[in-house]
Amino acid sequence: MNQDRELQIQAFLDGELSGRQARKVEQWLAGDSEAQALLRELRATKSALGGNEPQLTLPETREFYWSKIQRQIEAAVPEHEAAQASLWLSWRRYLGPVTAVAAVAMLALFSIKEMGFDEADRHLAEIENLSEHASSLSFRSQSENMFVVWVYNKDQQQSEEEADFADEAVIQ
Amino acid sequence: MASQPDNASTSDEKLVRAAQRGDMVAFEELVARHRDKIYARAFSMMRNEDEAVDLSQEAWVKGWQRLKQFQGESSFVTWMTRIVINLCLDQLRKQKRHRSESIEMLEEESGGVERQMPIVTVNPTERLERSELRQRIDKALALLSVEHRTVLILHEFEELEYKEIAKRMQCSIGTVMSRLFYARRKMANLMAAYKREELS
Amino acid sequence: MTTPRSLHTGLLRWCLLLLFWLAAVELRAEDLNIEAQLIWGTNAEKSPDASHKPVDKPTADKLKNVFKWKNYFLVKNVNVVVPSRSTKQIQLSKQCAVEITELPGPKVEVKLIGDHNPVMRGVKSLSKGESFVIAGDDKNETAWFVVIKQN
Repeated sequence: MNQDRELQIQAFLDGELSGRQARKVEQWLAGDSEAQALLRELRATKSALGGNEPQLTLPETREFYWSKIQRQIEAAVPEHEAAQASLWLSWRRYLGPVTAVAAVAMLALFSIKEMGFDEADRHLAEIENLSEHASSLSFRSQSENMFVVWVYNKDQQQSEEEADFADEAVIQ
Repeated sequence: MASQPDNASTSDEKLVRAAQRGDMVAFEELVARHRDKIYARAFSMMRNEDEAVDLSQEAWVKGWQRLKQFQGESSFVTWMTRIVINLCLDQLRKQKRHRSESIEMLEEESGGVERQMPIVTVNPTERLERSELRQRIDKALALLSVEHRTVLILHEFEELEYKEIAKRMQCSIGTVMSRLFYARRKMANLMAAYKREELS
Repeated sequence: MTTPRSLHTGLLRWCLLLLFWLAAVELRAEDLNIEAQLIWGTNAEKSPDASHKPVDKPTADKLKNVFKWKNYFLVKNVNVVVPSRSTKQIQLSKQCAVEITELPGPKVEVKLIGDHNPVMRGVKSLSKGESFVIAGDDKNETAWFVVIKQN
């Protein structure tokens, strides 16, 4: 059997032949046991693969994975918009809407807390970048009771993005 | 996160609509829901954990940037899968410049397929538990060349037609057909070999 | 009947009480027992610096559950007492220091200093058992972590 025939059998299996071509293939399949064996093998492989793509788990926590994505999304947004979005996100992330309004009202009206403080206030954080070259993003891991501030070099981030863009330009 | 319980039971469609209006918390829920699938697709193609993580992240960023273009003609996860596949293909093309020709490609081109791979007559995947089948498929995929693995993934997992695969891989339909044929035959022989190892 | 004079006195008494209460709350400020660690995260099995030992298992597990690196090595561990409403500077390496200030709340202000220049400042309440982590990428796909905890 030559390669042309083999590929036609495959195309027949995959529904890639026209009606007329498919009927022609069916005819010589009927009289060719080797071709039938090949079709059976291809069909079994196709059937085994279909719906059985290996299932994998991403090897990073939800928070850390998302923090990197968020950073890249915000890097593409003007800074004042990013600051507003980030502030909005940390409010929504750490407080329910009602608690957020209550916490703001509390902080505005009272400067001194009673002994201990409520759960909402415990998670509030104020982060300020003090270097023009550095930026940061923050997130909280509830399961590990950890608050993280990830600091990165703004200039390096920008030149990596420019290098990627230059690569793409060269390929095209 | 306070809003997670609210979004956890919301449908993808509602989350997408919210994200299209700029709701990043809704988008983050979509990421959390489908990150494993997108990562798995990237890993299947790249066979490198770090690259797969990076490319899957990049896909999510692009997904966010292009979200307004998503009209719901396919499911959201299918749309995202196409994005990550394109990124993987771009990356593979960049790497191709530095990759040496694989023995498989030489075998395919020299017509050595028939001599080296007899037709497998017994179904080697019969009576296998699904998880075990998936493991064997993963093991076998790792042994294919980049080109053969890519065409197999695009056809069998992504269910693209020959014409679409040719367009994405920037090759002829004939090349797609011969690569797919070789890849399938190789997979059949590998799965048969694993079966023989199990029985011996 | 309440005369303007008695009203004035009553008001003064309430103000004084409020002032004493506020002062008492201020006086409630405590010294902070802080542990600061500089940790290096890597996928390599060993640190090139033999003096860097792997961090204790609970810390390693916490970090592994959040970050992607397989191994974490302790570069420096410092325990300090930060007096209330005071600042203490902790030198963690030649390039890295943190300044920790105890603030009303109680809260801590942590200022990261890199190569003698301020990099960032964070203010947060810090309960016992909670970690405040400042981190970033290092060379060759490794990372550094400054982990601050209250003892």
